[in-house]
Amino acid sequence: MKNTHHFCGKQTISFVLDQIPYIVLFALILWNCLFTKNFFNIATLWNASFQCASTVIVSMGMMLVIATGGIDISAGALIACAGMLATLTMRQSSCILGVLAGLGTGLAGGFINGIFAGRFKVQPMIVTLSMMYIFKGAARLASGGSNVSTNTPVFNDLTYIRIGGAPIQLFLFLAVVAIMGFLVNKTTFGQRVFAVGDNARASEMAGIRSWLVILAVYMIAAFLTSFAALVEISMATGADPNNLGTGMELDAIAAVALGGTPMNGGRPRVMGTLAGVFILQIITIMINMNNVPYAYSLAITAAILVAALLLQRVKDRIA
Amino acid sequence: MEYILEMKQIQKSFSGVHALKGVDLCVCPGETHALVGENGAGKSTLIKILTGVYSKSGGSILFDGKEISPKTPNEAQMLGISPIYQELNLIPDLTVAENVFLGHAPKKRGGLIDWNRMFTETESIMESLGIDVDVHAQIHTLGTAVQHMVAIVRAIQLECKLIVMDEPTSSLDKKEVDSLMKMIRELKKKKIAVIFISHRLDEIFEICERVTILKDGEGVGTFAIQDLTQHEMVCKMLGRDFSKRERIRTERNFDDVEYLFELEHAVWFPKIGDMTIRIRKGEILGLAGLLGAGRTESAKVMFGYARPEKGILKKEGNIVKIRTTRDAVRLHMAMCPEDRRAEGIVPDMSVRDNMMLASLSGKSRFGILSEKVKRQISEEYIDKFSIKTPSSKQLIKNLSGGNQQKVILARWLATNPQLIILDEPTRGIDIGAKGAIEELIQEFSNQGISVLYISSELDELVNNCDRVLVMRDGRQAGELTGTELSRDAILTAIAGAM
Repeated sequence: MKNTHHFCGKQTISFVLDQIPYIVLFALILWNCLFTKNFFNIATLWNASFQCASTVIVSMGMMLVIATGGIDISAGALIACAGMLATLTMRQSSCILGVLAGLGTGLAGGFINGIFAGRFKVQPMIVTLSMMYIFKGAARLASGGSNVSTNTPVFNDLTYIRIGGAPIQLFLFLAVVAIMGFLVNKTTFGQRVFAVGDNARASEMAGIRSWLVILAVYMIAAFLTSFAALVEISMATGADPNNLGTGMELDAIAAVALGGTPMNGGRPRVMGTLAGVFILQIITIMINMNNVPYAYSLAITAAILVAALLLQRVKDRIA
Repeated sequence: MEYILEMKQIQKSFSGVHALKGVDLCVCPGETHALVGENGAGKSTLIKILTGVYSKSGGSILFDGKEISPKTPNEAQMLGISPIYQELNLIPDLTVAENVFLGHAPKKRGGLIDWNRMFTETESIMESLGIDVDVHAQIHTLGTAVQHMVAIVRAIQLECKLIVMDEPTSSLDKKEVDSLMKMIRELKKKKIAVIFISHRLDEIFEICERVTILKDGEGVGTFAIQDLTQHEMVCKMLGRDFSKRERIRTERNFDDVEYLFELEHAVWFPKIGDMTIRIRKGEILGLAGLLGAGRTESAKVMFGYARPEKGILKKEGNIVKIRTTRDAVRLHMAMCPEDRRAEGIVPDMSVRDNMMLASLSGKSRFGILSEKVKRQISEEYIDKFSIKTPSSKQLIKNLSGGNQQKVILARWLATNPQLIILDEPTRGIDIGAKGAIEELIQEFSNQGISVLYISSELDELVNNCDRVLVMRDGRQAGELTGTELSRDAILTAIAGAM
């Protein structure tokens, strides 16, 4: 009897630890509502969706990759590469072909990442690092190193679509989150991702081909990243081969870590990851609106991130 | 005789579990002393206490006449106790001499390394042991046996008086083993004592003077090798004296039943020499042998988890391709692995999801497995196997070993298998749950499912199986059916006296 009681205690603690991303997010919102002027305003929400849409989309893919125990640091460079190839194609042919070129770049890049990380079991860090160089190089080669604009008003105007006052970006990322939630929680694919990340050998023993799961995960991640690239170039009306997407992979990794997906593989946490992106975004907004130098937002992010990972260790320890 | 090492009444407990319950181990200078016992007998715990990896909970260690209790491996090394593990801690890209002097290279005045001295001293130790190895060669260019020798040379350079070798021969071929044996004889001349841990009985009888046998954390005794036969030694290692259970298998004649799966002439170096396993429909086939005899490896080859160099698999007489575990699942095979924690459970998943893991393709439609189906199946098995869990949504890591094992069995039963491979299905499970699992296994067979039953518990094999294959050194060493099937017959086959 004593034993069961003991388990209950552990489970309560681990349940509370699971809620930490939401608690932190709630606390940040509350603090800003009280102390940041003009924060409590619908325009803040619209602005935030505008700014964090592509980070949410990239983070959802990153979450799957991290759930299998991998990492994808080529995401930021892929945004530059896919964005640039889409822009160039758009200039020369049509809007539709441009979109296809962007998404195709993502699928191809994700395939290479996935084959090397999954089938050949090369360390994901090294595989995606190499791909990062390739994407960066390709973006610069294709553009000659200078900014290119899409010259496609139809495509650029998509950015300004509003539905009931809310920017289209909000709906885009909510749709991605909804699809990802379904994929992770309802499908057998989601179960496979979780199982491979939590115990790869046991999954193999149960007849799961882990390399295929890993391949799929990198392809989905890169596809979403290239979709985020389209969102970005539409907003910027073009692509900058040197700066587009820079650091995006790091924001995504930070959001996933804040959201409670185990960094060495395990249950992917969709809502946690979303909360993670919001936390990062609110810190930025808070800093901007209070006229504090940007560097402080980095320091606060760092502190929250380290604290989140420490709590993850605590959870591992008690379990 | 003066002992170099006297370990007396050593005890060790891990959070309430007694791994060692008062074990004695005494070694004379220059003696080669075998330490044997099955998995979980406490060999490695004892050695880890001696070499400072663990601290003991009770007892005393006298080394070279002084009471010691090393707290770190380094401290043990300074005292003159050097362990050489299966996984050698040599640095592959450094030369032989650099490895021998790793951490205490001879220095010239001013702190620079005295390379000349390093190489000549290494050469002289090598020479005194009759080894001919280029001291300038990088470690990774050398064979495993030579690497072992380098590790030993390092121990000698550190002026150790006792070397502990943990399964030094498990990855060596016959010729390499011979050269290692030769070197151990040289150590005897230098009055360096060796504790030799091995599952290969022939080697123990060839090289060791005495043997200490452990069983379930207790010492069975220390014997002079010449007073013991291999058969007696295996009996002492495996002989379990607790309550003998009845044979629960009803006698059936399988002679006319056709074979379901046949694994023919499998070779997987160095674990499996040439192994053929044929299983009839509905039969429970036992696989006996000491640890390292190739039982688990045979099972993994059969299940497509390991790819052998040679060998074919037939199902109902037809050759089938098996390259991955998924092929095995498609052929209606199932496997409960030996190491439940590492290869069985997905710890952070619920009982329910763990149960469905092998049926994700089979029971889903359009990639979706409905919650209703999941709930039905998991609740059916929780009920049928009497799995003790608050709900099917409980995380599996919070269940006891026996209940985890039942979940794994349910995972496979849900795939409608024709063959279930069970690797040590009752390991780490308490007595009551053991009985329940054995009954389930009988039930499978009554439903027409074939079972390949791997176990170190001879009673379990005798009580549950229709037929038992005995393995030794990667090959079949005996086959026992019907009335021939008994503990003693298995022991005899394991000891190689057939």
